[in-house]
Amino acid sequence: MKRKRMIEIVAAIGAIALFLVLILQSITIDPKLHEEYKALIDRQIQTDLKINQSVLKIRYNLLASYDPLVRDVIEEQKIQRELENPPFYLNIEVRKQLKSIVAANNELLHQKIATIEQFKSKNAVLKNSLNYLPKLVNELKIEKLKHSHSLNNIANEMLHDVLLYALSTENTLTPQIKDEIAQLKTITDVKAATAHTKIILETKPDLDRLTRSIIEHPSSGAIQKLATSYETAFNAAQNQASLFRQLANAWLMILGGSVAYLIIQNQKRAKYRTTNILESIKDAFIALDSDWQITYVNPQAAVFLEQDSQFLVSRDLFAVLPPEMGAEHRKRYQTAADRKEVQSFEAQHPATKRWFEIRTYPGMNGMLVFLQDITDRKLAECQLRRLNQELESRVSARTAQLAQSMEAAEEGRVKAEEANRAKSEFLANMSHELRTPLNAIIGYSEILEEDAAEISQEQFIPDLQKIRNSGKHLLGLINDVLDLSKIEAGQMELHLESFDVVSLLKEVAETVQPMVKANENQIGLEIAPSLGTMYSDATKVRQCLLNLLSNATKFTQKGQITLSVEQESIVDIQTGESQSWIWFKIQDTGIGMSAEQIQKVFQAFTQADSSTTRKYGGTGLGLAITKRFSSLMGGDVLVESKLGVGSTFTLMLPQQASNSKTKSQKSPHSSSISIPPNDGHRGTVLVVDDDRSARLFLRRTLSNRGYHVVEAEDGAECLKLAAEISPDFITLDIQMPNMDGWSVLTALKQNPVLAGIPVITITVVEDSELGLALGATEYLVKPINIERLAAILNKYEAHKVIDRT
Amino acid sequence: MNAGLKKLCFWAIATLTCLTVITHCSLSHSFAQHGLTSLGPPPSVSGDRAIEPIPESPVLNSDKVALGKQLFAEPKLSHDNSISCLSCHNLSQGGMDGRQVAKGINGALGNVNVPTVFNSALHFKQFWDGRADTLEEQIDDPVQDPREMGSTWNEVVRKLKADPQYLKQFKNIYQEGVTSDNIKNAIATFELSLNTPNSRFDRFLNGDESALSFEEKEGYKRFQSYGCVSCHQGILLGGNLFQKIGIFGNYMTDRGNITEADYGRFNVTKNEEDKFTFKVPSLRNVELTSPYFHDGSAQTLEKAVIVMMKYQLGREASQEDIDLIIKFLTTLTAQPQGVSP
Repeated sequence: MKRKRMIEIVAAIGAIALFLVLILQSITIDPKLHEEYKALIDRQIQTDLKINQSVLKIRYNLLASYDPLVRDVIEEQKIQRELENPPFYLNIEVRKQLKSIVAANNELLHQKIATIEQFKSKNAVLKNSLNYLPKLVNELKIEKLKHSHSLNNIANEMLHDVLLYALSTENTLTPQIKDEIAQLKTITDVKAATAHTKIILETKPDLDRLTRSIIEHPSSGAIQKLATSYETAFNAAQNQASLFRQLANAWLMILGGSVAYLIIQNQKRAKYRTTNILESIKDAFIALDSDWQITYVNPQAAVFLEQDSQFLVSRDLFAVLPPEMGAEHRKRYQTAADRKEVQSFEAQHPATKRWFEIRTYPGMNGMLVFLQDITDRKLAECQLRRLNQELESRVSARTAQLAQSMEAAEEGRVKAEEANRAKSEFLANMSHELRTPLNAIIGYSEILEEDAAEISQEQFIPDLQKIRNSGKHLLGLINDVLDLSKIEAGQMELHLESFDVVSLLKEVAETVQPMVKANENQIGLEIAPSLGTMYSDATKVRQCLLNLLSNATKFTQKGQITLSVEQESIVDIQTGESQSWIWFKIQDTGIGMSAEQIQKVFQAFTQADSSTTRKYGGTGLGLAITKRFSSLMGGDVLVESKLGVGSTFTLMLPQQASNSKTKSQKSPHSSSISIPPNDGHRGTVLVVDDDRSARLFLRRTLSNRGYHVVEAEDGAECLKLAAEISPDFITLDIQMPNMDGWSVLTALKQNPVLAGIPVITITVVEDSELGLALGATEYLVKPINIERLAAILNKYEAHKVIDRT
Repeated sequence: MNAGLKKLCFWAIATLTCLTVITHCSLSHSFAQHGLTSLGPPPSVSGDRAIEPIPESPVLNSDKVALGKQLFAEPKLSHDNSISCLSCHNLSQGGMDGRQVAKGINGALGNVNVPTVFNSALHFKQFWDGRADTLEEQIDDPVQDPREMGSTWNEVVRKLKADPQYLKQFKNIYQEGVTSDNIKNAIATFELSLNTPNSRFDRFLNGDESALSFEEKEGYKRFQSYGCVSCHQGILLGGNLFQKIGIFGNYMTDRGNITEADYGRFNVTKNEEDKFTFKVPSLRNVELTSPYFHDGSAQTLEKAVIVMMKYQLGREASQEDIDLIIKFLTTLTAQPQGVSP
C-alpha cells in the first residue's frame, strides 16, 4: 500500500516536472528581449551607414567638423559591445555561433575605425593644403611672378590642375602637375607651394583609398550577416518554443483528463461504497434535506415503511412516516435539526406493531435518520419483566414457607431438647434405681464368697466371683451411662478440692498396673518436678487418667506406655493473666488409629471400630466421658495417632479449675498480646479458633517446635491481629460463631497487605476445594495431625527464606 | 471523494507553483546595464559648423557628484596617501598642474604633459595616445601607475572601507558599497560635471556678436584661414581625431631626445603610420593650460602657435596674426559649472 502510494507520488511529481519543463521550453522566448536585440542590429546597420555617409560628407566638404562622425563611431562601438550577448533563449550552439560572428564583426569594426582615424588625419592635412594652395599661388603671382606672363599662366594652370585633381578620382593629372611645379621651380623659390602640392599629390590618393576602403568595408555586410543569422536562429527558437507550447498544452490536457478521471473514479467508488453499506445494513436509513424531504431511502426503510422506495423519495418525511413515528415526535426531529445533535427515541409502527428505535444524525445539509427494528428486544424485555414478577412472587411465597418451617424447626428443637433432658433425667434416675439392686447383688455375692471360703465350699467361689465381676462391670457400665446422662442433662457437678498431683498419679499408675501386666506392657512415668497441688475435681481427673491409661493398655500388646506430666504457664489472651496448666500425656505404641477413626474417637457409644468392642471390650463411653469431664474442668483432650504406630492422648487441665459452669469466654475486646518475644523463633503463627483448648493445643505444639504463637478466638480478632503483627502463618478454624472461617479467609485475601500470608485451614468439615478456592494455602482436618502441620509450616518457612534472599 | 479532492488540490498547487516559477524566471532575465560613461560629442552636434558651442552639462546624480568630488581630492587613492587626482588636475588652474610633465608619488616624473580634466568627457578618447575609451578606463591608469599614484584598487578599497564616513556614503548610493567600479563611477560622474560651456566664444557662436571684441573676431578669422580649424574643429576645437606632429618638417628630430612616449598612438596600435601621432588636444581653456604639447615643450601660447604654424600648417604667420589668434584663443576660457574659479 505504502509502495503504491510512493509510486503514485513519484508519477505525479514526474508528470508535473515534465509539464514544467515543457512550459519552460515553450515560453523561453522573451519578445521584449528579441525586440531589443533586433533593434540593436538595426541601429548598428543604420549607424554604420551614417558613418559611411559622414565619411563621404567630410571627404567632399559637406561636413565642417568630425564630431558627428566621432559620435557615430562611439555609438557603433557601444552597440557592438551590447551585441556581444545574444539573447539567452537561443540554445548554446546558436549563441556561440552568433558570438563568433559578433567577435568577427568587432574585429572588422576595429579595422574600420582605424581606417577612419587615418582618414580623419589625412583629410585634415589635405584640407589644409587645398585651402592654402590657392592663397599661396596668389601670393606667388603677386610677389614673384608678376613680371612673367608665361610663368603666371603656368602657376594658374597648376592651381587649376591641382584643384581639378583634388576633385577627380583620376590620377592622370599628377605628371602634369609635377611638370608644372618643376617649371615654376626653375624661375623662383616655390618651396612652400611645392611642399603643399606634394602633400596634396601624396595625400589625395591615400584619402581616396581610405574613403573607398571605409565605404566598401565588409563590416556593413557582416552586420547584415549577423542580422540574417540572428533572424534564422530566432525563427528556429520560436518554432521550437511553439512546438513545446503545443506539447505542454497536450500534456496539460492529458493531466487534466487524468485528474478528472481519478476524481470521478474516486467519487464513484465512494458513492458505491456508501450505497453498499447503506443497502446492506439491517437498519432502515432515510436521508433528508433541510426541508424534511426524503432524498434517499435504503431498501430496508422501504420494507419497514411498507412503501416503494421510488415512492418515498422526494416526499415529506412526516407525510410518509405514521404519526406515531413521525409527527408525534416532531419536536425531537426539530431539536436534532436545530441543535445539530443526535437524538434517539423509540416508537411503534401502528400497522405492523413493530417497535423501532429512531436515531437522527444531523448531516451537512439536512439530516440522516436510522430506524432500528427493536421488536425482538422489546418482546424479550416484556418476557423478562414477566419472569421477574413471577420470580418475585415465588420468592415471597418461599420465604413465607421457610419462616414457617423455621418456626416449626425451632419448636421441634425445643421439644427435642426437652425430650433429651427428660431422657437423661430418666436415665439418671433409672441408673440410680438400677444401682441399688446391683449393689445388693455385688454385696451379697462378696458375702457369699467369704462365706463359701469359710465353710470350705471352694467349688462355689469361681462362680460367685463371676457374679461379683459381672455385677461390677454392670455397675461400671451403669456409672458411665449415669455420668454421661448427668453431663448431658447438665447435672454433673464438680467437687473442687486441692490435691497433690504426684500422689494422684502414683495411685492411678498402681491402679492400672494389673491391666498393664495383663497385656505384657511396660509403663513409664515422666513427671515434671514441683508440680505441686492442683485445685480441681480429683475424682474426675483420676477417672479421666484411668480411662486414657486403660485404653492405652487395652490397645497395646507388649508395648510401651508412657505417662508424662508437665506444667506450663500460659497468658490468657482474654484476661491477660497468667494461667498454669497441667499437661497429662499418655503415649502408647499400640495399634493406633486412622484419621477417620480419630474423628469419631470422642463420640459417645463409639469405639474406633465396631469390631473393637468385640475384640477389646469396654463400653465405648470412656473417651466420651473423659472429653466431657475435661471440658467441665476447663480443659480438653487431644489425640494424635498413627495407625499401627501408636496413639498419644493429651489431657490438659488448668491447675486451678473454676466451678463456674458458664464459660464466659466471649469478650468482644481482645487485649494486646504480651507474650515475650522468643528470640530465634522460626516465625509467628496466628492461631484462630473459637475453641480455647484447640488454641492451647496448637500453642503448645507449635511453641515446642520453635514458633511464636499468637491466638485469636474469632474472625474479627484474627483480622485485627493479623494487621497488627503481620504473622508468618495463620491457622484458621472454619466453624466459628459470628464470622466463619470462609469469611475470614476471604477478608484476608482481599486485604493486599495480608493476602500474602499463608493460611492453613483446620476444620472438621471436609471441603478442601472450597478452602483452596478461597485462597487457603493448605487444608487440614480435625483432629489435627501435628506432624502434617509441622511439615507444612516447614515448607512455607523454606519458601520464605528463599523469598527473603 | 476526500482523496480525490486532495489530489485535485495537489495538482492545482503544483501547477500554480510552476507557473509562478516560470514567470519569475522570465522576468529575471535582462541585459546587465553597462555602468560606463559614454564619451565623445553629444548627439546635439550637427557638424554644420566647424566649431559648435559646448552644450549645457547633463543633469547628474548630485550625491554621486559630491562623492566623486570628494574622491577626486582623496589622497588615499595613492599608495602613500600623498597624491589625489586634484594634485595634477587642479580645478582652479584649468584642470591641470602647470608642469611640463606630471609628478607622481615620491617625486616620480611622468612622461607626458598633464591634459586638463575639463571637458574630458567630451573627448573621443582619453590620454594623448587615446589608449582609454572611457573615463573609468582612464582612472585605472593614474591610480595604478607606479610613477603616478602607485596604488592598487584592493588597497584603495581597503583604505576607503576603513573610513565609516565613506562606507555610509557609498552604501547610500551603491548597493554593493565600496568597490573599485563604484569609486570609478563616482569620479567619472564628477568629471561629467567638469564641462565648460558658456565661454565668450560659445556665446558668440550662439549669436551674441558683442561677446567677442573686434580683434578676437579677427583672430577667429585668422584661425580659420590659417587652417588651424582643419584639425581643431568640433565643440572642443580638437579632441576628436589623431594627428601626426610634424606634417611639414620633422618636429621630433628638430626637438631631439625622442622618448617612447613620443611615439604616441603607435604605442597603442603598433601601426607604423601612427608613429608620432597624438590626439589633437582641445583648445578649450587653452589660455590656462600651459605648458603645451604632449611633451610640454611650449611654455607660451605664442610659442605653441608658431610651432603649430611651422610643423602642422607648413607656413609662417605675421606677429600681428599670431597675436590676433592668441586673442581669439583666450575667448575659449570658461569655468566648469559648480566649480569656482
